[in-house]
Amino acid sequence: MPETKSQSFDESQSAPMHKALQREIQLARNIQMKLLNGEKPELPTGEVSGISIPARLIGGDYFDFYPLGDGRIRILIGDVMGKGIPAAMLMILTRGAFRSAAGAAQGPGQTLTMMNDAIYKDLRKLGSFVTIFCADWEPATGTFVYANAGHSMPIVVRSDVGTVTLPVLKGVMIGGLPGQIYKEKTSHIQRDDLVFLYTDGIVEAQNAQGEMFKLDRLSGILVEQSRQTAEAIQNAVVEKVNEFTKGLPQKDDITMVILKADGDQRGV
Amino acid sequence: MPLHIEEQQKGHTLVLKLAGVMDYSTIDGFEPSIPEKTGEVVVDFSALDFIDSTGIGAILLIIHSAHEQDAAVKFTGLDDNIKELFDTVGVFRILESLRKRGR
Repeated sequence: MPETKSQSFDESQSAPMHKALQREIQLARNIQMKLLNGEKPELPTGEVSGISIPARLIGGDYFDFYPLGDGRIRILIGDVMGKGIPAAMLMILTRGAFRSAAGAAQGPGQTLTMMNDAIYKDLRKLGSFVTIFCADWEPATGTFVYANAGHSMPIVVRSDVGTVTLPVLKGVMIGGLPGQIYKEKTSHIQRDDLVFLYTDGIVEAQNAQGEMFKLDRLSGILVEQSRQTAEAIQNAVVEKVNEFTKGLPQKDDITMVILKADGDQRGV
Repeated sequence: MPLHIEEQQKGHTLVLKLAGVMDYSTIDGFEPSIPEKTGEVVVDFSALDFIDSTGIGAILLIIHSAHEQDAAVKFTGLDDNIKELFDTVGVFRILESLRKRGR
Protein backbone atom coordinates (compact mmCIF):
# COMPACT_ATOMS: atom_id res chain seq x y z
CA MET A 1 0.00 0.00 0.00
CA PRO A 2 1.21 3.49 -0.75
CA GLU A 3 0.90 4.52 2.93
CA THR A 4 3.17 1.69 4.06
CA LYS A 5 5.75 2.59 1.41
CA SER A 6 5.73 6.19 2.45
CA GLN A 7 6.11 5.23 6.13
CA SER A 8 9.06 2.92 5.55
CA PHE A 9 10.71 5.62 3.39
CA ASP A 10 10.45 8.12 6.29
CA GLU A 11 11.83 5.65 8.79
CA SER A 12 14.80 4.79 6.61
CA GLN A 13 15.54 8.50 6.25
CA SER A 14 15.08 9.56 9.86
CA ALA A 15 18.26 8.00 11.32
CA PRO A 16 20.67 9.56 8.77
CA MET A 17 18.79 12.85 9.04
CA HIS A 18 19.07 12.78 12.80
CA LYS A 19 22.78 12.05 12.52
CA ALA A 20 23.28 14.89 10.01
CA LEU A 21 21.36 17.27 12.25
CA GLN A 22 23.43 16.29 15.27
CA ARG A 23 26.61 16.85 13.29
CA GLU A 24 25.42 20.27 12.12
CA ILE A 25 24.49 21.32 15.66
CA GLN A 26 27.93 20.20 16.81
CA LEU A 27 29.53 22.28 14.04
CA ALA A 28 27.36 25.25 14.99
CA ARG A 29 28.47 24.80 18.61
CA ASN A 30 32.13 24.81 17.51
CA ILE A 31 31.58 28.05 15.58
CA GLN A 32 29.86 29.68 18.54
CA MET A 33 32.48 28.55 21.05
CA LYS A 34 35.31 29.80 18.81
CA LEU A 35 33.63 33.18 18.35
CA LEU A 36 32.86 33.52 22.04
CA ASN A 37 36.11 32.28 23.44
CA GLY A 38 38.48 34.12 21.14
CA GLU A 39 41.70 35.81 22.16
CA LYS A 40 41.64 37.58 25.49
CA PRO A 41 42.90 41.12 25.01
CA GLU A 42 46.30 41.90 26.52
CA LEU A 43 46.14 44.89 28.84
CA PRO A 44 49.10 46.89 30.17
CA THR A 45 47.42 46.81 33.58
CA GLY A 46 44.43 44.85 34.80
CA GLU A 47 43.04 41.61 33.47
CA VAL A 48 39.83 40.32 31.92
CA SER A 49 38.29 36.90 31.65
CA GLY A 50 34.99 35.54 30.40
CA ILE A 51 33.17 32.28 29.87
CA SER A 52 29.80 31.20 28.48
CA ILE A 53 28.27 27.82 29.27
CA PRO A 54 25.16 27.11 27.19
CA ALA A 55 22.31 25.22 28.85
CA ARG A 56 21.92 23.24 25.62
CA LEU A 57 24.49 22.52 22.92
CA ILE A 58 24.40 26.13 21.82
CA GLY A 59 23.00 29.21 23.49
CA GLY A 60 21.99 32.85 23.27
CA ASP A 61 24.38 34.47 25.72
CA TYR A 62 27.16 36.65 24.41
CA PHE A 63 30.20 38.49 25.74
CA ASP A 64 32.92 40.33 23.92
CA PHE A 65 35.98 42.53 24.38
CA TYR A 66 36.92 45.24 21.91
CA PRO A 67 40.24 47.03 22.55
CA LEU A 68 39.87 50.70 21.61
CA GLY A 69 43.61 51.20 20.99
CA ASP A 70 44.06 54.02 23.51
CA GLY A 71 44.36 51.96 26.66
CA ARG A 72 40.58 51.54 26.97
CA ILE A 73 38.66 48.38 26.32
CA ARG A 74 34.99 48.12 25.37
CA ILE A 75 33.25 45.24 27.15
CA LEU A 76 29.86 43.77 26.41
CA ILE A 77 27.69 41.08 27.97
CA GLY A 78 24.32 40.17 26.50
CA ASP A 79 21.47 37.72 26.84
CA VAL A 80 19.25 36.93 23.84
CA MET A 81 15.62 36.04 24.58
CA GLY A 82 14.90 32.33 24.34
CA LYS A 83 17.20 29.33 24.16
CA GLY A 84 19.01 26.90 21.90
CA ILE A 85 19.38 27.29 18.13
CA PRO A 86 16.99 30.26 17.63
CA ALA A 87 18.75 32.23 20.38
CA ALA A 88 22.16 31.27 18.97
CA MET A 89 21.21 32.65 15.55
CA LEU A 90 20.24 35.97 17.11
CA MET A 91 23.40 35.94 19.22
CA ILE A 92 25.43 35.95 15.98
CA LEU A 93 23.29 38.85 14.70
CA THR A 94 24.01 40.72 17.96
CA ARG A 95 27.74 40.01 17.69
CA GLY A 96 27.84 41.43 14.15
CA ALA A 97 26.01 44.56 15.32
CA PHE A 98 28.43 45.02 18.22
CA ARG A 99 31.55 44.47 16.11
CA SER A 100 30.30 47.02 13.55
CA ALA A 101 29.27 49.59 16.16
CA ALA A 102 32.20 49.17 18.55
CA GLY A 103 34.79 50.63 16.18
CA ALA A 104 32.67 53.66 15.25
CA ALA A 105 30.83 54.58 18.45
CA GLN A 106 32.27 57.18 20.86
CA GLY A 107 31.15 55.40 23.99
CA PRO A 108 29.06 52.50 25.34
CA GLY A 109 25.82 54.52 25.09
CA GLN A 110 26.33 55.24 21.42
CA THR A 111 27.35 51.60 20.89
CA LEU A 112 23.96 50.44 22.23
CA THR A 113 22.13 53.14 20.26
CA MET A 114 23.84 52.02 17.02
CA MET A 115 23.19 48.34 17.78
CA ASN A 116 19.51 49.01 18.43
CA ASP A 117 19.25 51.07 15.22
CA ALA A 118 20.87 48.21 13.29
CA ILE A 119 18.85 45.25 14.57
CA TYR A 120 15.62 46.70 16.02
CA LYS A 121 13.50 45.87 12.97
CA ASP A 122 14.78 42.29 12.72
CA LEU A 123 14.20 41.65 16.42
CA ARG A 124 10.71 43.20 16.32
CA LYS A 125 9.78 41.07 13.31
CA LEU A 126 10.95 37.98 15.18
CA GLY A 127 9.30 39.00 18.46
CA SER A 128 12.66 38.86 20.20
CA PHE A 129 15.02 41.10 22.16
CA VAL A 130 18.47 41.20 23.72
CA THR A 131 19.50 42.65 27.09
CA ILE A 132 23.00 44.14 27.05
CA PHE A 133 25.37 45.84 29.48
CA CYS A 134 28.23 47.67 27.75
CA ALA A 135 31.18 49.49 29.34
CA ASP A 136 34.40 51.28 28.41
CA TRP A 137 37.08 50.56 30.96
CA GLU A 138 40.46 52.24 31.22
CA PRO A 139 42.45 50.07 33.63
CA ALA A 140 45.28 52.62 34.03
CA THR A 141 42.96 55.31 35.44
CA GLY A 142 40.10 53.14 36.67
CA THR A 143 37.56 55.09 34.63
CA PHE A 144 34.53 52.94 33.95
CA VAL A 145 31.84 54.38 31.66
CA TYR A 146 28.77 52.24 31.15
CA ALA A 147 25.38 52.01 29.46
CA ASN A 148 22.61 49.53 29.96
CA ALA A 149 19.94 48.05 27.70
CA GLY A 150 17.78 46.09 30.15
CA HIS A 151 20.54 44.00 31.72
CA SER A 152 21.44 43.30 35.37
CA MET A 153 23.97 45.71 36.86
CA PRO A 154 27.43 44.22 37.52
CA ILE A 155 28.57 43.25 41.01
CA VAL A 156 31.60 45.19 42.26
CA VAL A 157 33.66 43.78 45.12
CA ARG A 158 36.07 46.16 46.85
CA SER A 159 38.85 44.72 49.01
CA ASP A 160 38.21 45.12 52.75
CA VAL A 161 34.75 46.60 52.07
CA GLY A 162 32.77 43.85 50.36
CA THR A 163 30.26 44.48 47.61
CA VAL A 164 29.73 48.09 46.54
CA THR A 165 26.98 49.38 44.29
CA LEU A 166 27.58 51.19 41.04
CA PRO A 167 25.06 53.97 40.36
CA VAL A 168 22.11 52.14 38.82
CA LEU A 169 21.43 52.85 35.17
CA LYS A 170 18.43 51.38 33.40
CA GLY A 171 17.45 51.34 29.75
CA VAL A 172 15.16 49.54 27.33
CA MET A 173 16.35 46.19 25.95
CA ILE A 174 17.73 46.11 22.39
CA GLY A 175 14.73 45.42 20.13
CA GLY A 176 12.23 47.01 22.56
CA LEU A 177 11.76 50.47 21.01
CA PRO A 178 13.08 52.17 17.86
CA GLY A 179 15.36 55.21 18.01
CA GLN A 180 16.49 54.74 21.61
CA ILE A 181 19.26 56.95 22.97
CA TYR A 182 21.17 55.12 25.67
CA LYS A 183 22.54 57.23 28.52
CA GLU A 184 25.92 56.69 30.16
CA LYS A 185 27.20 56.89 33.70
CA THR A 186 30.81 57.08 34.85
CA SER A 187 32.33 55.41 37.86
CA HIS A 188 35.82 54.51 39.03
CA ILE A 189 37.21 51.07 39.54
CA GLN A 190 39.78 50.99 42.32
CA ARG A 191 42.97 48.97 42.41
CA ASP A 192 42.11 45.42 43.55
CA ASP A 193 38.42 45.90 42.73
CA LEU A 194 36.67 43.01 41.10
CA VAL A 195 33.92 43.75 38.57
CA PHE A 196 31.65 40.84 37.79
CA LEU A 197 29.24 41.02 34.83
CA TYR A 198 26.83 38.15 34.45
CA THR A 199 23.67 36.78 32.87
CA ASP A 200 20.76 35.62 35.02
CA GLY A 201 21.46 31.93 34.29
CA ILE A 202 23.93 31.99 37.21
CA VAL A 203 21.59 33.31 39.89
CA GLU A 204 18.69 31.26 38.52
CA ALA A 205 20.67 27.99 38.33
CA GLN A 206 18.60 25.34 40.12
CA ASN A 207 19.36 22.26 42.17
CA ALA A 208 17.27 19.07 42.38
CA GLN A 209 15.11 20.64 45.13
CA GLY A 210 14.19 23.51 42.82
CA GLU A 211 16.17 26.06 44.87
CA MET A 212 17.93 28.85 42.99
CA PHE A 213 21.62 29.75 43.31
CA LYS A 214 20.62 33.40 43.99
CA LEU A 215 22.53 36.66 44.12
CA ASP A 216 23.54 36.41 47.80
CA ARG A 217 25.36 33.13 47.27
CA LEU A 218 27.12 34.53 44.19
CA SER A 219 28.13 37.73 46.03
CA GLY A 220 29.50 35.67 48.96
CA ILE A 221 31.71 33.65 46.62
CA LEU A 222 32.97 36.81 44.90
CA VAL A 223 33.86 38.46 48.23
CA GLU A 224 35.67 35.28 49.31
CA GLN A 225 37.58 35.00 46.02
CA SER A 226 38.13 38.69 45.25
CA ARG A 227 41.92 38.59 45.74
CA GLN A 228 42.39 35.79 43.21
CA THR A 229 43.14 36.27 39.51
CA ALA A 230 40.24 36.84 37.11
CA GLU A 231 40.54 33.32 35.74
CA ALA A 232 40.73 31.73 39.20
CA ILE A 233 37.58 33.64 40.24
CA GLN A 234 35.84 32.48 37.09
CA ASN A 235 36.80 28.86 37.78
CA ALA A 236 35.66 29.14 41.40
CA VAL A 237 32.22 30.46 40.38
CA VAL A 238 31.78 27.69 37.78
CA GLU A 239 32.83 25.09 40.36
CA LYS A 240 30.43 26.43 43.01
CA VAL A 241 27.53 26.51 40.54
CA ASN A 242 28.33 22.92 39.51
CA GLU A 243 28.53 21.85 43.17
CA PHE A 244 25.14 23.46 43.76
CA THR A 245 23.36 22.00 40.72
CA LYS A 246 25.17 18.64 40.92
CA GLY A 247 25.19 18.45 37.14
CA LEU A 248 21.41 18.91 36.79
CA PRO A 249 20.68 20.22 33.26
CA GLN A 250 19.99 23.94 33.51
CA LYS A 251 17.20 25.96 31.89
CA ASP A 252 19.34 28.95 31.00
CA ASP A 253 22.82 29.72 29.68
CA ILE A 254 25.44 30.81 32.20
CA THR A 255 27.82 33.62 31.24
CA MET A 256 30.23 35.78 33.21
CA VAL A 257 32.88 38.41 32.54
CA ILE A 258 35.42 39.31 35.19
CA LEU A 259 37.51 42.49 35.32
CA LYS A 260 40.34 42.90 37.80
CA ALA A 261 41.97 46.30 38.02
CA ASP A 262 45.66 46.35 38.72
CA GLY A 263 46.57 50.04 38.22
CA ASP A 264 47.97 52.62 40.61
CA GLN A 265 44.99 54.94 40.49
CA ARG A 266 42.85 55.09 43.60
CA GLY A 267 39.21 55.43 42.69
CA VAL A 268 36.43 57.61 43.99
CA MET B 1 3.05 23.53 34.65
CA PRO B 2 1.25 24.76 31.52
CA LEU B 3 0.16 28.27 30.62
CA HIS B 4 -3.49 29.17 30.53
CA ILE B 5 -4.66 32.41 28.94
CA GLU B 6 -8.26 33.33 29.63
CA GLU B 7 -9.68 36.00 27.35
CA GLN B 8 -12.65 38.12 28.35
CA GLN B 9 -14.08 40.85 26.16
CA LYS B 10 -15.93 43.46 28.23
CA GLY B 11 -17.20 46.13 25.84
CA HIS B 12 -14.12 47.71 24.29
CA THR B 13 -11.83 46.17 26.92
CA LEU B 14 -10.05 42.86 26.37
CA VAL B 15 -8.88 41.18 29.59
CA LEU B 16 -6.10 38.59 29.24
CA LYS B 17 -5.76 36.61 32.46
CA LEU B 18 -2.49 34.72 32.53
CA ALA B 19 -2.20 31.63 34.75
CA GLY B 20 0.63 29.15 35.30
CA VAL B 21 4.07 29.37 33.75
CA MET B 22 4.87 31.67 30.84
CA ASP B 23 8.24 30.48 29.61
CA TYR B 24 10.15 28.88 26.75
CA SER B 25 8.38 25.54 27.24
CA THR B 26 4.80 26.93 27.28
CA ILE B 27 4.75 29.94 24.97
CA ASP B 28 5.93 28.49 21.65
CA GLY B 29 4.17 30.10 18.68
CA PHE B 30 2.18 32.59 20.77
CA GLU B 31 0.37 35.14 18.58
CA PRO B 32 -1.85 37.66 20.34
CA SER B 33 -5.18 38.23 18.68
CA ILE B 34 -6.81 41.49 19.60
CA PRO B 35 -10.33 41.95 18.20
CA GLU B 36 -11.02 45.07 16.16
CA LYS B 37 -12.38 48.09 18.05
CA THR B 38 -10.65 47.02 21.25
CA GLY B 39 -9.76 50.25 23.05
CA GLU B 40 -7.92 48.74 26.02
CA VAL B 41 -6.07 45.51 26.74
CA VAL B 42 -5.77 44.59 30.42
CA VAL B 43 -3.17 41.94 31.19
CA ASP B 44 -3.83 40.28 34.55
CA PHE B 45 -0.73 38.65 36.08
CA SER B 46 -2.27 37.72 39.43
CA ALA B 47 -2.38 33.96 38.69
CA LEU B 48 0.98 33.80 36.89
CA ASP B 49 3.59 31.74 38.76
CA PHE B 50 6.65 32.35 36.60
CA ILE B 51 7.75 34.30 33.54
CA ASP B 52 11.11 34.11 31.72
CA SER B 53 12.59 36.11 28.83
CA THR B 54 10.51 34.22 26.24
CA GLY B 55 7.41 35.12 28.26
CA ILE B 56 8.52 38.76 28.28
CA GLY B 57 8.85 38.49 24.48
CA ALA B 58 5.18 37.43 24.38
CA ILE B 59 4.20 40.42 26.57
CA LEU B 60 6.05 42.69 24.10
CA LEU B 61 4.03 41.15 21.25
CA ILE B 62 0.83 42.02 23.12
CA ILE B 63 2.06 45.59 23.76
CA HIS B 64 3.10 46.21 20.14
CA SER B 65 -0.01 44.53 18.65
CA ALA B 66 -2.26 46.64 20.89
CA HIS B 67 -0.33 49.79 19.95
CA GLU B 68 -0.77 49.03 16.24
CA GLN B 69 -4.52 48.89 16.87
CA ASP B 70 -4.54 52.10 18.94
CA ALA B 71 -5.46 50.15 22.06
CA ALA B 72 -4.04 51.11 25.46
CA VAL B 73 -2.34 48.41 27.58
CA LYS B 74 -2.72 48.10 31.34
CA PHE B 75 -1.11 45.59 33.72
CA THR B 76 -2.77 44.34 36.91
CA GLY B 77 -1.80 41.81 39.58
CA LEU B 78 1.98 42.18 39.19
CA ASP B 79 3.97 40.78 42.10
CA ASP B 80 7.25 42.35 43.23
CA ASN B 81 9.44 39.85 41.32
CA ILE B 82 7.72 40.48 37.99
CA LYS B 83 7.70 44.24 38.66
CA GLU B 84 11.46 44.19 39.27
CA LEU B 85 12.08 42.07 36.18
CA PHE B 86 9.93 44.32 33.95
CA ASP B 87 11.64 47.38 35.39
CA THR B 88 15.12 45.95 34.70
CA VAL B 89 14.51 44.93 31.09
CA GLY B 90 12.51 48.06 30.25
CA VAL B 91 8.93 46.81 29.77
CA PHE B 92 7.44 49.74 31.72
CA ARG B 93 9.51 52.22 29.69
CA ILE B 94 8.16 50.70 26.47
CA LEU B 95 4.57 51.00 27.74
CA GLU B 96 5.15 54.61 28.78
CA SER B 97 6.88 55.56 25.54
CA LEU B 98 4.17 54.04 23.32
CA ARG B 99 1.47 55.68 25.45
CA LYS B 100 3.09 59.10 24.93
CA ARG B 101 3.88 58.51 21.29
CA GLY B 102 0.42 57.41 20.14
CA ARG B 103 0.28 56.01 16.62
